[in-house]
Amino acid sequence: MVFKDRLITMLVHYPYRIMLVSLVLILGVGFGGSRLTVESGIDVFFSEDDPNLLADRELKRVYGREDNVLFVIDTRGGDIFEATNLSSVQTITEKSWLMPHSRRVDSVTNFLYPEVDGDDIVIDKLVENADSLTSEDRRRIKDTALSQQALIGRLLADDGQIAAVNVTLNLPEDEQAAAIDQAVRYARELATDVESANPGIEIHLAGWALTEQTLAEVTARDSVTLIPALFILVLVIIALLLRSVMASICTVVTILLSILCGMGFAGWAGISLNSVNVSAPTIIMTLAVADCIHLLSVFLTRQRQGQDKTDALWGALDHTLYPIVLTSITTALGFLSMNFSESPPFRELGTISAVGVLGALWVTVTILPGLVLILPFRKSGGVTTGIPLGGLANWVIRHNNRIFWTSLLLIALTVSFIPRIELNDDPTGYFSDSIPLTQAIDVIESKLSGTQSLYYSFDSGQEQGIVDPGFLADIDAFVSWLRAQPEVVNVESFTDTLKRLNQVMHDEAQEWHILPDSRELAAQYVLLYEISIPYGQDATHQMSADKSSLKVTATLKNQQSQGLIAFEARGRQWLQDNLPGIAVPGAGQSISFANVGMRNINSMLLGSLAAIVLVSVCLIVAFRSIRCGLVSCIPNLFPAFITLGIWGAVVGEVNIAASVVFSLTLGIIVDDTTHFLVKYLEARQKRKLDAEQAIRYAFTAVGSALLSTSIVLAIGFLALVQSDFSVNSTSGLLVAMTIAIAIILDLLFLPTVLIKADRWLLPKAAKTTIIGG
Amino acid sequence: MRVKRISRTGFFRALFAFIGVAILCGPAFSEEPVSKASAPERGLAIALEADQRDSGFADTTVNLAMLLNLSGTEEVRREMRQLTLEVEGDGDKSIMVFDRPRDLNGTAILTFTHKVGNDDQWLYLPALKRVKRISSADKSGPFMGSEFAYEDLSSQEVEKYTYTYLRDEPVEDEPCFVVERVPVDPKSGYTRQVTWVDQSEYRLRRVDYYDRKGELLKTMTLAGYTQYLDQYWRPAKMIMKNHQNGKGTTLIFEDYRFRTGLTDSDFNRSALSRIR
Repeated sequence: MVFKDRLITMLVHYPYRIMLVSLVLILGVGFGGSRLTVESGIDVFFSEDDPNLLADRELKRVYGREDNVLFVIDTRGGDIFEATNLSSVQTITEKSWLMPHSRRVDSVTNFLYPEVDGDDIVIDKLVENADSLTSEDRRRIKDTALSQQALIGRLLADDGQIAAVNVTLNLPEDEQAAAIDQAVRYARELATDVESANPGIEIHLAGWALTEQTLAEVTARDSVTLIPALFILVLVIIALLLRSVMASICTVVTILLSILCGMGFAGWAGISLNSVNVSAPTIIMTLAVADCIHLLSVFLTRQRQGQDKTDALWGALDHTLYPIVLTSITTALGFLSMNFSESPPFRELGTISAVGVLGALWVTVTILPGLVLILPFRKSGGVTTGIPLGGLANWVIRHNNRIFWTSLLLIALTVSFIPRIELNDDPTGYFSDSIPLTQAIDVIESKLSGTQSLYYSFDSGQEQGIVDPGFLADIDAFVSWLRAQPEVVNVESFTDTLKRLNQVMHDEAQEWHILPDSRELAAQYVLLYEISIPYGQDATHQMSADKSSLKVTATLKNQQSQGLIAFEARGRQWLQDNLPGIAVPGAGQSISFANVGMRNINSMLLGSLAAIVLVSVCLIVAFRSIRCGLVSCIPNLFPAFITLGIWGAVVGEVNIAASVVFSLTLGIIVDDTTHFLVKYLEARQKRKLDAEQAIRYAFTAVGSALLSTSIVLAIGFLALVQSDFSVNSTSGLLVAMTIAIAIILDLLFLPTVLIKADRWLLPKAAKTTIIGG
Repeated sequence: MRVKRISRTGFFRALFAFIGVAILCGPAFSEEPVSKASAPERGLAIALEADQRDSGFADTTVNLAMLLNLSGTEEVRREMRQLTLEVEGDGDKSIMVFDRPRDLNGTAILTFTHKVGNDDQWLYLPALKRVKRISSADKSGPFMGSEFAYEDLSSQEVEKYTYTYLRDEPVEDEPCFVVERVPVDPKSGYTRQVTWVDQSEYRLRRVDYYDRKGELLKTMTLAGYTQYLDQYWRPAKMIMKNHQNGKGTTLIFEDYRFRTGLTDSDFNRSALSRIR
């Protein structure tokens, strides 16, 4: 390894010059950080060409956006039609007109209800002035309201105990986050005011605006509190593990410069920060720490053994440079494989982390040596650093047979639980239980309505085509089918309005609650409706402006992603069987998320496969042995499977985060295997030790550093569990588990495999090959 | 001056009502500052003068096309006719007859505008052969899916607003009075409107509409004024632009006719079903 020796000599002899040049380069990359922008919103989870996103955008273009704030007014067992409660609903309805960016307001009180009064048609709100109503009026209103299919399961619970006010927002194209913030602030104040005026009710807030706002708040909280806290935590652990203030300072500098590389690159690459890729600094930090620990633990040990600084540094570089380079490359490959993801923020997270890992390698090689020489490391002779693992090595070797079979059995058992995992991606469910939005959604799902909607836009194919009686009858048939489905709690369709108008125009005769039988009549009813309605209660969200298409909205209750996808498929099948001429898929954000989650599984399976192949090829080349490369797969592959198995057995439900865990962890856990194998093979080949002795050697050489880095990494990712954003908390927990399992496998299972496979692995071990290290 | 007489083409009250002047504010014409009159007095005076200048036309008919500009390049066209009868002492009577889309052919709306209180409105549906009186207190919604609200199009009696003169400001080099008006009807969809009235002929040139939140919602501009009977100015185009949703609607007026001989008997329920 002439090249390595020359490189190390250069690093040790010209540390300051190298450091200076490198620092300039890093700052150049880091300057890109000033170009970073923040993108908010739910749409970031989708590619620009995602078919569901495009369908959703088309819906918004034709019928307007559906971003909303939903007030849920819970009487907690009372009656919403009781005087004070009804007046609270009316207050919220009317004050919502003043909510910034509100476009329409729908509630039980302003529900437009056409009625006949002698020769007059009265199209008016169901509740005009709640305060002046008699109990007789309120009983009549209650009876009417509870018989409206359009209201029940959407704005009114069928038992009359809970009502909702839905405020649809007209968000500007730019400055959306600020607009949502204004609307939500207003909504929260209004809810508090109304609650304090009427202590009998409880008001919850939900809707897309709340989801977006909560996402923004949770992300902000993570970056302001969680990440700095994590940083301090990691430093404390490092200080405890290395027992050296100077080493800790070196680590801090390395961490900061590595993050600067990753985020600077993101800036130059034009990547915007979002709620997912904002985790990149955390990931980079933990990986930079790993590099530092490997190098510094050897340095400190040697220094404490009495070597002078330069010699100790030379030894440390000689001992760790090769595995650090190797593991950095494999880690970067693992992260890069996240680019197979369907969802852009995960692709960006992978790319930024990969660059950050290589940045950490660069910093460790070019900056750290100079830093070590500058800083006054005290010689505290005698104290050994790290965790003594000699006993463990002996124990593993003594019981290797039992450990091998027990491990194999446990692995098989846990992996068998993987099929129990159920995928569920619903952005409204992306938050922890302590978030008010989650509580609001519980109330909605359990007592009022559902939180998932499917939108069907039926195109008649011609301007003014929606008034065709055949077209209307088709849609009515589908609406009836939807209403007969157990998942569906509400269907909103203009056909209901037309039926009601027809009945009213025929003097309330029940037999006329049917669709108009001619185009002309239907068109004239639409006109009647369109000239008589208050501001913000028009039907533009139900029909296109040229009257060529109609939108039907189905609200579903308590559906997981798989249930939603299955329901949508069932609806599509029914339409194809019965109405092939106008059959369309169901669209909307709920189904978009369910689908992106599902598709992500497939694409990430492919990505993981690619990563495994690449990493294995890397290791085969590095070890110059196909068999060694293959053996390394065992501890590389199993941890993720075991984690998912345990998750399947204990929790069951995962979101989009689960599919990236493999790629996220692969690079990291490969490090453990690689460090261990490098030392093991070095002992077997260069030092000509036998298998058991080589394992003892590997334990002493890297065991402590591996355990330390694993602890730091696991704690790093475990800290993400504190996030109220469940994509981050779930992935944090899954990754931490995987890392913990990986180190256990590396220290317990891998040695037993090496002993068992020794003959196959190194048939001519004692003779020729000498590997680097 | 017959200040009392306030009646307008039903459809255009919005446009002309306040094109009035100011008896009190005569000096507004001259360079002499009008600081003597208060802003509300001056605003009202401008509205009254505009109204006064447009009185006495007796009756009019006009064909109009409504073009809805949807986001993108799509456009939807509606066609209708408007008949208006000037009424002494109250708001105008008007009939709107729909010609296109074809399904609406013959559908007609009869409106009696009132200076105070809700307008009366009857709808004739030819498919049912029935006339029904429509009473809905709140008609602030979009008219036929357009960016115009019914209240933007209905007869704009002077009494339906309170006025405040703001300043002088030109519209396309034409010197204008800028007058703010606040709807009297609490059910109006607007908190206020800012109007630009040209100083030469008291014609409405532009209106900014502010929604219930007080935010700018829409702007209407009027163009292509022609004078009829040497007195009455009518626009060829009214363009409404909604600032909040980016959509727009254009109204195009053609073939104005004045004093066609319409009488009170052409504006009642039975006349509604006869109209073609």
